[in-house]
This record gives sequence, C-alpha cells and structure tokens, in this order.
Amino acid sequence: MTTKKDNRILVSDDPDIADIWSEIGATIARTNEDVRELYATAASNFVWLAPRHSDMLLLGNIVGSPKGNHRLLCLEPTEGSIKHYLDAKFSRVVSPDDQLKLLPLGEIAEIFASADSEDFFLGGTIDKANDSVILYRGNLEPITLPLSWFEAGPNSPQPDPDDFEIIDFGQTVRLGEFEAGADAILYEFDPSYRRRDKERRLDSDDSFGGALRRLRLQKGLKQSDFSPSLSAKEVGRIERGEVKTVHQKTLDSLALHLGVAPEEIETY
Amino acid sequence: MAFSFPLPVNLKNQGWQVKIRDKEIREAPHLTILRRGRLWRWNLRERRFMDKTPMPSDVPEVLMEQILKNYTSLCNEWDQMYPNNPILGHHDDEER
Repeated sequence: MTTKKDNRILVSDDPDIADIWSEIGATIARTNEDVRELYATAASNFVWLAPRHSDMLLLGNIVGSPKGNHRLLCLEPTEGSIKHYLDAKFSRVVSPDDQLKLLPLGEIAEIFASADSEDFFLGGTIDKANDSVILYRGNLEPITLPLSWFEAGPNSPQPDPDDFEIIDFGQTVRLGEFEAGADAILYEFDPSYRRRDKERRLDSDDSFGGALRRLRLQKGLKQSDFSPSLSAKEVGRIERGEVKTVHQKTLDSLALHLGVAPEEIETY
Repeated sequence: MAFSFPLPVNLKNQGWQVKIRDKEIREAPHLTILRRGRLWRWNLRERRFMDKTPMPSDVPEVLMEQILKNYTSLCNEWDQMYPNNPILGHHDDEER
C-alpha cells in the first residue's frame, strides 16, 4: 500500500471539469504535450484521472517509462489496444466494466481532496468465482476481502452480492440492505489503517478511560501496577470505557497510585 | 440491515444522514452521522461524540435535537441490531 501522499493529475481539456479539479490542488494536463512532460518528469507517487474516453486519448504517445509510481483511474471503460497501452504505461489502471462500479466524478473529486483519501473506497466489484469483494481505495490500491465477512447480525437480512454499491462518498459498502463502513473494513483488513486509527482514537478520546490511560502512561505505570487494590483487568475495562460508573473507592485507589487528586484524573 | 434514521426534509436536502451500520462490532454503541465525505460517530451510551475530528460543532444543532428527541427509539434500533452489545441492561456495565 502506498503511504506517501499521492499527487493528482487530471487529464482533460474540458474547462468545467478542470476548474473543479484545480480547486482541489490537482495538476491539470490539458494537452498531449502536458501529459508527456508530466509523465517524463514527475518522479513521485501520482494518481492520474481521465474522466472521459477522449481524455484517455490525450494519454497517447507517452514515451519511455515513468520515474515514479503512476496509477491511472479512468471513468469510462478501457478496451482493446488502449487498455493494453495504458496497462504498459501505468503501474495500475482502474476503469469501470460490467462488474467494476465506480463512484460518480463529484464524489471521487471529494475523496481525492481529502488528506486521508486512501481511507475511502472509490469503486469495487464482487468476484463471485472466489467469493470475494475487491475494493479500490482512494489511492487506487485494491483490498480484497471474503464475502463471508459481510455476515449480518442475528436480526438482519443477509447481504445481497447481486446488489453491490459503494455509497456515502466512498465511506460505505452496500450489499442489498446491508451496509458496512469503510472504517470497519479497513480496520479488519489493513494493519497500517489499524495503527493510524488507534493513534487517532487515543488522541481524541476525551472519556474518563482515555484520560486515565494517558495519565497512567505519563506516569510510566502498567495496568498491573494498581494491584492488589485493582487488577490489571479492571483497569483495562475502565480505560476502554467498559465500566459505566466508576466507584469513589476505585477513583481514590487510582488517584493514590497516580499521585494526583481523584477529581484531577479526568483532566488529563 | 443497516438502519437509516428519517431526518426532516431540510436536513436531508443538505445531505445529512444518520445511520446505524452493520458490522459495528468492535465499537461502543453509536450512531454514524454522515454528510458528503465526512463522518461523525456519536456514542449512544455516553451521549457524546466519539472523535474530535471532524468538529462535532459542525453538526447542526437541529440535527442533534432530532437525535435526542428520538434517543430511546434509536437505542432500541441499536439493541435490536446488536443484542450482544446492548446500550443498557448488561450488569457488567457497572463496575464489579
């Protein structure tokens, strides 16, 4: 997976489309010459977007190989010789076909404008032969997961693979009436997402448990350091917010070990 | 089946959605509030936003009023979808 921030290049001679994309900081390639120059000189991570078939033609006659990692998203099908040509020039080409469904251009623009674009899905397909779902992230990297993962809860109808769609600007995967969040999927299947998510949550957790955890770590204590008055398991449950009401006796014990007043714990 | 909370037309027209999505099995009971490419999670047990970003203050007060007004029925929807992680009623919500 690409972790380095991608640069965006829109290939289009349509001024209306170009205006939208320049607003989100994309480089605009309006001519075949622009394309050739960017392709030859851009030595980093690039995601190219060709919205229309005519825009794909602007990608023709590229000479040589790219210096960086160049990926291409086409919003219209690529077939025949143009497909082979693009496959040869880009490390990955994502384009719609009978199976692969993509978000509309406006929603893709919003994903590309996001600082966390790789945490959104811009398209996907069901691979029935392998009982899998293939989802394309905002950086065009695919993630494959088993259809069985989309098992519904006890009181819910099962997901319908014949009615598959990415919705909510790439934040939800819908299978019939079943909807799973992109965050839940990435958490399950991408370790790097899990790490980032954990950091994000710990930073933004302003619950009592979050404050307790930050203070404990600040003091260099382990969860087991509160024994015998509190077990590591109990401290863990409080930190995870699994305890609804923390008794005063417990607060006093926590505070004593942490060297602060009981009422100060939640201020950390 | 994901639950979608019916919002007043003006909020709906502004692109706001409130959902309880499937597979939310690792989280505290919560609502997912969506608008375009942004998403807020609101903890049903603690009645507060779970994340600092996006800014909770970006969610209109009128939407939060709708949530609070329908709090009980939203909790019931969660409990029906996630009977193993109910909002209330488990004795281990209390410290032992």
